[in-house]
Amino acid sequence: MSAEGTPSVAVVLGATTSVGRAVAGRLAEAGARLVLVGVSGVETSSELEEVASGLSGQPGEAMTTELAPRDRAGFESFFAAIEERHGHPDALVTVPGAPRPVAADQMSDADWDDAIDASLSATYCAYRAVLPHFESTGHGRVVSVVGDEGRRGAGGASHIAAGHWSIIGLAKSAALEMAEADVAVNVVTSTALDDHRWQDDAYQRYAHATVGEDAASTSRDSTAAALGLRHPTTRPFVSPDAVARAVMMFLTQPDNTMTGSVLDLSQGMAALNTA
Amino acid sequence: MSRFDDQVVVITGGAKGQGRSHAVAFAELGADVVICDIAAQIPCASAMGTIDDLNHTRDLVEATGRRCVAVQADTRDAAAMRDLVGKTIAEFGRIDVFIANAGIAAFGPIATMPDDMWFDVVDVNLNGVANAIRAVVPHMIERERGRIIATASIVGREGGPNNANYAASKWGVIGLVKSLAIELAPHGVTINALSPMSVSTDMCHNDKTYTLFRPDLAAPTTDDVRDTFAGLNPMRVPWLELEDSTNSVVFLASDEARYITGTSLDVAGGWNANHCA
Repeated sequence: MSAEGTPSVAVVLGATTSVGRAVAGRLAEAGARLVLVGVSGVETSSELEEVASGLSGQPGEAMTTELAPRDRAGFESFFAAIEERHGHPDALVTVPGAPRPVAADQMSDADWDDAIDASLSATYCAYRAVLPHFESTGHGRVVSVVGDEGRRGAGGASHIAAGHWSIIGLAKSAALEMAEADVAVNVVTSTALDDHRWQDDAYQRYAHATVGEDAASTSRDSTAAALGLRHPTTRPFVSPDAVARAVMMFLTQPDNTMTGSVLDLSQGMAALNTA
Repeated sequence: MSRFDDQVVVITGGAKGQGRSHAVAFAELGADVVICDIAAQIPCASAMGTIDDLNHTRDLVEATGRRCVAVQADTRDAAAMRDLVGKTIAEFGRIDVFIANAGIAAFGPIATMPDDMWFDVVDVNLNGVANAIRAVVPHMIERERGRIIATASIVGREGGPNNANYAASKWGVIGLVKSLAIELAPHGVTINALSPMSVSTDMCHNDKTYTLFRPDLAAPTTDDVRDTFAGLNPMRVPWLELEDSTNSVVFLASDEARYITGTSLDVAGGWNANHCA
């Protein structure tokens, strides 16, 4: 970690997602060595390479790899390769991909299994790979990014909600276990991200349903209008860079005073939380 | 207390513990009961039910005068859960109440936890609960009625040191329940989570758990851990009795709870008063 708190070696899981790209960009600009990890089935090696080639500011080229979400051995061997090249990572950011919304009575077994693996299982494997080093070195920063589905019920997206709620439970548990070391584990949640997913009909119908609309036909514009109704600020989307700024705040804090926290980028919906 | 005369109740994890207690209670209140259990040991978990335990629960239910079918099945197998629902409908014609109760626990720090300890606990407690619930949802939507109760935990409301696998799985169950409550509400189906503190079962009373709570003792006894458990909640209760859990499940399944859905009912001696959102 630099004097300003910028991580020296930062791992980004889910690096090709809109938030993963924004986080990688900010970390690179701050001078961190970047390690970009993609989840097989969600991200491809060529997409990772494309993200890596677009980064500027970091020393050397970013390391990239694609790993299956339950491949603990693969995570271990890749993290050993990181150590050999750069030394221990001191920061981990996890960003799950975005499976398509689907109602429970229409959901296939694969819909469920893939969603939980791409979110919770991959996050676990990444935590498991870095936390022993963070604990033994007495320093580390972890931030897990999840959707607003991790903060409240999400009709039509129970597989996403279950995965994201469980990541918060994991993060809080890890925060407690690591609290006496200078290790911080925090969560950033975001409501509708301003990215490609809202071009998808399933996402458009999901957004309309959150405000009680069973729309016969949808578009990205009608979706933005529906999300604007949902959010107290009336803004439909959160920019990936706003999430990246929040992630950087957690990554660069000088100690672990903030740990086990959940920071909502919710366009005002946090005001509807119970406390 | 509500009666459940001639209703059909399905309970996973029914061989012993909370599942057995729920099964006998619903039968005493007039319901026919289908119990399901893996009836086999998962290595990392505390002592699990056996086929003899499963059959004993069936005998206890039948002793009330109600019918009971015992099914040996693993909730991690989604097809087996669909078979459980299909078999129940074939035998009894419908399902009124479905209790996704099967769960396991295994303790360890996240940094050193063996992989089976993570994946087995999450696979049973989260994926198994989802498999079971997804199997019954189409039937309840078609009938435009039904009650679903999932066993979560007070550890699903906060972080759990040495318990990240369990905490993550139970957080996931609550997220699932809240999401399905929104989906199922227009169909007259309610779904809620029960979030108890420790319940007096084998999952609570075993050497590994006792040693976690009293690492200063070589072989802690029940009396040695009582105060440590009790210190977790303001009412200073070491653990719930089975009827405390069962009474809450019966309530959530009752007519009195008809407008309660999407909640996590904390039965935890005030432990929950420490929580915010």
